[in-house]
Amino acid sequence: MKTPLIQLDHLNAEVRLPDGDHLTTVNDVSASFERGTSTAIVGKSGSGKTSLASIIGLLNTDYTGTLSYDGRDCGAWNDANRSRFRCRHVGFVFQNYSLIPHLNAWENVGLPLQYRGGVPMRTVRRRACRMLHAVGLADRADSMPSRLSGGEQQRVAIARALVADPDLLICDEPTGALDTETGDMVAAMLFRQVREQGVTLILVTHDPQLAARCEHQLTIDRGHLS
Amino acid sequence: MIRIIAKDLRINPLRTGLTALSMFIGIIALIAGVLVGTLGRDYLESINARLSGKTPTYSAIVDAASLADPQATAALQQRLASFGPGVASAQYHLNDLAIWALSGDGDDASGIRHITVIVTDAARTGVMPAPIITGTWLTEAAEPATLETVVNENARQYVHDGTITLARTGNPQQVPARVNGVIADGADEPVIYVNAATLQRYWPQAWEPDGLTVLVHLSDGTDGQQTKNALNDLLFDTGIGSVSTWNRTDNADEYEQVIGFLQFGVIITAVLLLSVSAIGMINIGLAGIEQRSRELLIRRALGATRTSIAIQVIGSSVLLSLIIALATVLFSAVLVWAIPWILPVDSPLEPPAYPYTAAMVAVLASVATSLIGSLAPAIKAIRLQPALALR
Repeated sequence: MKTPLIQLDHLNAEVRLPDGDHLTTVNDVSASFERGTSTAIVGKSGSGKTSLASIIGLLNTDYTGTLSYDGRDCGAWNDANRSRFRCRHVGFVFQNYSLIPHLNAWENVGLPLQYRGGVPMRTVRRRACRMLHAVGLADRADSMPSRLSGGEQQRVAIARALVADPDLLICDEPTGALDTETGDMVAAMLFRQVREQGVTLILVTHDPQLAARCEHQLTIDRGHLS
Repeated sequence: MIRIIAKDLRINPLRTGLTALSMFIGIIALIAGVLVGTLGRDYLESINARLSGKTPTYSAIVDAASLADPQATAALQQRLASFGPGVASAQYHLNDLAIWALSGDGDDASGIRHITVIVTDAARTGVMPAPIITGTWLTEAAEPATLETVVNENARQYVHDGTITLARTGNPQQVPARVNGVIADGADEPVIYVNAATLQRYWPQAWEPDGLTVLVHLSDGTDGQQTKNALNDLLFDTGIGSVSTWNRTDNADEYEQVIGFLQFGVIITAVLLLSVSAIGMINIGLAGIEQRSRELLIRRALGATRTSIAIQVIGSSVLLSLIIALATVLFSAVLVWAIPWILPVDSPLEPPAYPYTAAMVAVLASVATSLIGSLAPAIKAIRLQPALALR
């Protein structure tokens, strides 16, 4: 039997509220994500979808249960191991682009390669520019984020997420900050790249139309996955 | 990583510039504190040395028995030239020695003028150093070719065609003497220095010393009492006489304390400046991390480890401090190098050596300041939870 890329077993997570109470954000979630598939996690605001994505993306360790990648339990990994794993295997696309404002487009795209270490700057630049070309921004490589439109910034963010050839791409509301037309264009480009690179996609969204473009859809409500 | 660190310095040029300025002021203050203390000590030592002798100098008034004997004084000069405990210079008292010059009251009448005439030897500047403005000091040659003198700046007016005319009270004889040079001895009155050996040789009639003072600048580690005993032995051996009074002439002890206190004060001020700089850096650093928390979270999500975030925060601060320290050291080196050009020609000060130790301390203090100043921001940065990147 083929091992799934990601396996979640009875994951639970909660956050502490300012008044001292605890709010359960992920409630006994078990799921698996096969390599090369696309899955949408759909839910209302506050349903726990971003909390679940941050656990899957190894950004949050405050959980119980088991999270494993390729059969390896990630629970015992320390911060440095998780960082290295993220750097090599996970790409992120954030809702509000999250480009670093004082770095130009290719420098933003090249960041995961820089943190990987041992990659010469020349190679970083070449691969970043190639990725920018793939998302149609070859001529904007030296532009600062403030000079780019929202759609262009999100395309740079997608290029950054894919430049290090990750196994997993986590997109959190990738079109949430864009108008419908630009959002459609960015989504089309995102799915094309995912398809071409064979990346496992986890798409967090509350947009049913965007979710419908994924092979699988999971709905989360008050931490429960269905 | 170096690229990331260097890039960090360019995020906010004003903040970087102000941090650099505070570091620059701190380092310069530390170097200047040491330099001012050194220059101040050197200056006071020089002023004191040319009036009262180098530190430490003792004056021996000799109870002389046979100063009129040229052979005895020649032997004395020879023995003093190789005096073991330090540099020794004889000063003979010839009270009737004067110069022949215009009276100066406008009637063109020439006559005896009583100004200070010091009959001494070449070793005097080894005890009481003073800058030679023009020409040379008295020669050490065993047999100088002529009666030679040196004048101070106030006695320049009596020099004509490179000579000065010596005379004696109650004696019509006028003897021309070559003027070797002009010395800035710090005296407010005209002073003529006459080479004792040449006076004995070329004007023996004038050689009627009334007394003798020997000035001794002690070598390092030499004891004053032992030196007095050695001088007594020397005077006994040459048949000159014995030491009647033995006193220290320089007053270094009095100003050493003051200079030390001033220098300590300046250094404390500099250290306080560096501390203020460190506090400022902590403040700016913490504010910077606050502003950049989103960026740092993104970096963490993209794979930056806590270590790399800490290196980024501390590294940019340390890199800045190193650049500033290097620039400050170069700047201060140029200033120190330029000091001889700034000093007047008759300054008693020797050009100061660059305070390498102070510079090294300042650079280390600067790096330490930047390390301390960036530690709190770095801790704050690595405590950011990467999970917040998705919020």
